[in-house]
Amino acid sequence: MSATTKVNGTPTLSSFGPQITLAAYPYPTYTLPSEPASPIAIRGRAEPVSSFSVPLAQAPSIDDIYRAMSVGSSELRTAVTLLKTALQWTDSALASLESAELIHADDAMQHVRALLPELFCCRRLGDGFGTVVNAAQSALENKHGEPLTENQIRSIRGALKSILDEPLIGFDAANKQVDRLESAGLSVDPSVMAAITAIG
Amino acid sequence: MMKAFLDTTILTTVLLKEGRPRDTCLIALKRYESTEMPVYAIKEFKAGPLSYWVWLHNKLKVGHSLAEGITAIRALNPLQVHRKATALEALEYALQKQKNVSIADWPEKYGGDGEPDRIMADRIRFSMRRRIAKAWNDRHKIADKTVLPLSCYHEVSPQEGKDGLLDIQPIRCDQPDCYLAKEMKKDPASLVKIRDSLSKLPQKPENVNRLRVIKEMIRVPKREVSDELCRKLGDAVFAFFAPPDAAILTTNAADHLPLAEALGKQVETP
Repeated sequence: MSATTKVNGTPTLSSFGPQITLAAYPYPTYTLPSEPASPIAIRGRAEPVSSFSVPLAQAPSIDDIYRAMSVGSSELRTAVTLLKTALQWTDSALASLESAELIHADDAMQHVRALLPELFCCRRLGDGFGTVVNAAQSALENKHGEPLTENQIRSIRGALKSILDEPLIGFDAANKQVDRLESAGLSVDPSVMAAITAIG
Repeated sequence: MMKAFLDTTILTTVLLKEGRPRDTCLIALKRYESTEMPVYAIKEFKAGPLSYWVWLHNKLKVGHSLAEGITAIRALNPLQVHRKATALEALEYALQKQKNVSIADWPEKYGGDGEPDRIMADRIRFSMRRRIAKAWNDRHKIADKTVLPLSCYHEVSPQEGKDGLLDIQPIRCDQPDCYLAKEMKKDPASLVKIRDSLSKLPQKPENVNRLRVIKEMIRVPKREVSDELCRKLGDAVFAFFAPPDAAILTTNAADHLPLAEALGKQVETP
């Protein structure tokens, strides 16, 4: 198994299912559907993506490279599939809000919420990835059934998009995404953290 | 009082806690025209509450298990019994709840990362890690001014090791003689007042230890005060160094009040 090769001077991880191209920021080489998919169209899972590129904000460390190699294709492929589906649902929610279909919008976000626990199982991609998913999951749980505002849906979308663009996101960059969720008035910690605060 | 001198409990509540206690502290801080906090509070915060958080974070990281974390808290965490019981109950409930969310084939698909116990451990750990980092980054933002810099103590941020564990060292001073104790020994009359006040307080371990150090500082002023002894000074530092026109703002007025009153200073709570 070859570890790394160079394409036009850019190191590229090869020999894995979803290929990670350590390309220069900022252009991902895949695109999301430009129009929100209808709920019927996305009720089933999207097909696994066979090949995609992930831009990194900065040159990856050797640890990042080895981590990506050790995680292999399965978590990455699942994460991308789930994230793309989740983003389609958030887009659907936003479209529904625009046409004042509040129940459809809320229902779409329930689908996002249902995807996040499994997405969290892909956290071997890194603490940054896990931090963003955990925060998004907690944000939705902590609404306790109350519908999200448009701004909150957009912030969830932004957070999920950030880890789709950069699954190996660093911890500091992940924190910035979580800060944005907080700025939208979302509570980003699991409710059990209230108990943890008692230990200090 | 229009000025507040913040103690470690305020720093801890604002940086690590949530809900009403934190909100109350934040509102209280707005009561004052100006607020000051000594670096000693940061030192106490890092060696105490923040280090407990790092300890539990690392426990969850290494053990991959909330159940193990619960066992560790039960055995080691220096909490009052009733507070510990409440925390443990909530953690056990969270673990049960996670078992209902998890899908049976996740462990097969994702290995250990699909186990409910590990999922809950990691969710808590990620939140803890974020709050630890934020707490450290925001430590100077709570008060208008951080005062009394310590030449013997360096504020080094917690670091992540290659193993993913957080390292909170150093938590001690790097010089043999405490800078604050040297300053305190320049005012023996105040030390005597603190000693007299301490000698009347209940024989709690922290009071006994504090009294022993103060007595030593009065009796043999030339003797060095090590980092270990400096940490035992605790509340006496706040009583001694609080400016006369400031109130010591704390959530623990009971312990601060006798010492502050001995020096004619005030204590206020959020």
